[in-house]
Amino acid sequence: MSDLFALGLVNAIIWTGLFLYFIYLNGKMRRLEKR
Amino acid sequence: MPTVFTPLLSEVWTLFRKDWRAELRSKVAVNSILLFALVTLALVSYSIGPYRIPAGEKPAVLSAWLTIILFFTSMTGLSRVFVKEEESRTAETLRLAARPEAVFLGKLLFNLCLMAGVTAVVVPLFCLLMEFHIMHGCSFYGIIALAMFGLTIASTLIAAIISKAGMKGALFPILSFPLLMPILLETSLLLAKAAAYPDLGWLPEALGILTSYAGLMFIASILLFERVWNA
Amino acid sequence: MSIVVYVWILLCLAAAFVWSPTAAHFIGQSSRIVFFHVPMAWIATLAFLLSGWHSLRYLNTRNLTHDRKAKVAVRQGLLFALLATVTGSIFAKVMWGAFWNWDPREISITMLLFIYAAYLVLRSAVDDPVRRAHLAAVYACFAFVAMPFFVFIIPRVYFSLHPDTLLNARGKIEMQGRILATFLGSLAGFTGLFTLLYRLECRLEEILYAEGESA
Repeated sequence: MSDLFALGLVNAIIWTGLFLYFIYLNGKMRRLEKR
Repeated sequence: MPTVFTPLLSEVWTLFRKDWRAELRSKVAVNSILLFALVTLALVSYSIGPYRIPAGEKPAVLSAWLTIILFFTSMTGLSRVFVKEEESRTAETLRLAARPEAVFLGKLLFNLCLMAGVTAVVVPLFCLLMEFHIMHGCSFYGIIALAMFGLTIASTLIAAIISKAGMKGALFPILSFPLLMPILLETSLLLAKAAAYPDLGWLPEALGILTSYAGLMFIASILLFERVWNA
Repeated sequence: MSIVVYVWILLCLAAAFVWSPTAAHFIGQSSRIVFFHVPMAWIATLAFLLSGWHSLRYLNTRNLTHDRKAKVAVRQGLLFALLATVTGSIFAKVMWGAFWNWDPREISITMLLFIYAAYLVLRSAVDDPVRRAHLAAVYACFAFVAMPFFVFIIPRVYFSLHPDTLLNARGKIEMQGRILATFLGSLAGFTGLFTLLYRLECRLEEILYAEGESA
């Protein structure tokens, strides 16, 4: 694995992970607003 | 009947004898735990046998196997001591009749005896069946004894926790494993060393690690048990 | 507050790739990974400390707010521990050729992952909220006791593949100049991000509880 690819992959994973978690929280908030 | 010196110890002893007598009557825990260990032993011995592993690899591989067998054996039997109280609904009575510390120590003593008995049978049998030649016998058995001691202490508190939850059988290994991980990894490394290393320079440090784990788990369990028991 | 954090993170990203030089003894650009992987591991530990603290507070006060906060800490800790493990594993592949080596620090992060997962499984296995809070808090405290034993004692005793920690045996800080600055900046930025995320979810949990929905 090349080092630049690894760096890119690491960043992709971190930001995607954080983004997905943020979406999960948003989903919960939306469920709350529906009630 | 031995004389006991303080009210706490006599309470512990009484509770222990109650569990012991109940166990002797039905022998459920002992039988199931022993059978499990023997079946696992048979499986390992049959599928791998004493001669398929090259002599250089033997200490590491066999130590790992032994640790695995002991871990799963403990997972089979150590939760019973609390689960049976909840299931037969005698737990409430016990809560009223005895102090939490005494209950914990009594159950711990029972579990320790159980593990000691099973280990005393399983380990020599394993070494026999797998032609596990150990260079430093005393260290080997000493390490197993200390490791199982720490393992039992941690497992007993977890057993108390899961006895109050659903899915008890599956939950026990799930909750225990992360906490037992240090001791299990350590043990399999140390057993390999006890079996094969020519000198014993690593021993004092190893004993220190095992003892501090057991001590730490013991203190934490004693402090936390009351909250679990009354939850 | 959140704008500050976002801008800071962007700055750190820029610094990580452009401003700071690469370190010696590493393959090519791979030393930059320290700006991303270490903050993840640090936050996972921080979350663990938070969950231990709130579990202890719950056991002392029996106030369910602490139980909720501990749960949020564990959930987010699981996320960051997962990120730390995956990024660390990628780094391991580049540096040492194998995705996983059972090096002591890898063992600790795995243990943390298992503890988090076990905590969440325990919570799902108990129906009564008060009993659930009690049992979960006890488990978290128990894990809190077992964990430092592993994190601090074992790596000192055994050789580790990991590069020397920031404050190593000699007591000196190994990183220099720009690398150190970028690293600390990145650490601060991610901690800020975690703080935002944690407070957000805690508030969410309080609202959910007030609406009578929480689990």
